[in-house]
Amino acid sequence: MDIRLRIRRFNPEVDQESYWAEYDLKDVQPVDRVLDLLEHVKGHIDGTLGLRRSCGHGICGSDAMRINGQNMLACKVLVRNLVQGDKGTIQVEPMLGLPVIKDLIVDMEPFFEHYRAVVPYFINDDPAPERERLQRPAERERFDEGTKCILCAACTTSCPSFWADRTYIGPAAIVQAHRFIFDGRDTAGDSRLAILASEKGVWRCRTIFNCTMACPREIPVTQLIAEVKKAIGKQKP
Amino acid sequence: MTAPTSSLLHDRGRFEAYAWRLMRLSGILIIPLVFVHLAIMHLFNSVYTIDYQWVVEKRWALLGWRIYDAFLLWFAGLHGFNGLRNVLKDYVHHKLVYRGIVIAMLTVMMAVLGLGTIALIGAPFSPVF
Ligand code: SF4
Ligand code: FES
Repeated sequence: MDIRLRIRRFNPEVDQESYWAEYDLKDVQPVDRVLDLLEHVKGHIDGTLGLRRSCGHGICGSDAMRINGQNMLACKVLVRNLVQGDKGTIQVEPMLGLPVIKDLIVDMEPFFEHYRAVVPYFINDDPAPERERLQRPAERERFDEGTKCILCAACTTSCPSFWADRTYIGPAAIVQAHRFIFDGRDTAGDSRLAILASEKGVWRCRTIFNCTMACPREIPVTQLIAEVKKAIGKQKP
Repeated sequence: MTAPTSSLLHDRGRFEAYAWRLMRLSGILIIPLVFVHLAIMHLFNSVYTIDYQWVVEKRWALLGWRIYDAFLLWFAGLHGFNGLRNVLKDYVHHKLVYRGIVIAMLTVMMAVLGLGTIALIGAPFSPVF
């Protein structure tokens, strides 16, 4: 099939503004991934195209981008999911809301700063038992969804509340906090809830559901945010 | 590892948690309240049949309708005001400007809710039958 690939490009050393570059690709297979098309452009047409990728299999979370207006992993979406028939256009842009470094590469630092703000690691000052801190399957189940997150930023950069206010902590950080708040072995849940109850925390969420639609790991992001909101409501003052 | 603190965010108390609950509760309640209200005002009646006498005799005279209207007034008023405040918060990042607009909105809301409540209680002015 014939695909016209439109890529939002920007090279800070040359360009004043970003622009759309178009590449006409022939013999594209319906089962090709968008990442394959981008690598074809980089490898055979224009080596200056900048993009991040690592695993190529939806594990590392480095190639989230805005494809036909929706955040996806380029390595997870097939051409046939986007184009029916034997001709079509696919449009690729960097994620919104984070500064563009070059072409499809955005500066992830503001995103990771919000991630660090929820103290996303296990805290328990009690002396560790001899072997391990045991947990029932149901207790493990409680925070299972959050453990699937690969920190791709697809959710946070699809969120209109985040676009409007870049200091909003964002869905990804809340998902990460949820993973520890609802882990019975962790003892810092209350402090995390206090952090998320603050001005730039969960109350900026307007239940728009873009994050849930965007998440490549199919995490019910909006639901997890609502669970954190409820837990904050139940906290003793 | 000790308990976390974060300098990025500052605690703002429990107001937002209560506001969120109020939004959920009032959101559910105003769905039937508003649709029944719309049906009565625009489907079964119209600007040609609704006048002062109609309001006084068919609505105000019955306690049930006054309670209904009080619910509608308060839940829609609070829901709308708090929703607007949240939208404002998204876009107005200057603290003083935000506070100024909220105070102005709060004044309007209290005036509307106050006048509406006075009308529903019927004191100090009762309607003329
Ligand atoms: S919750 Fe989903 S979309 Fe958000 S960062 Fe994690 S994996 Fe990506
Ligand atoms: S390249 Fe690793 S997730 Fe796509």
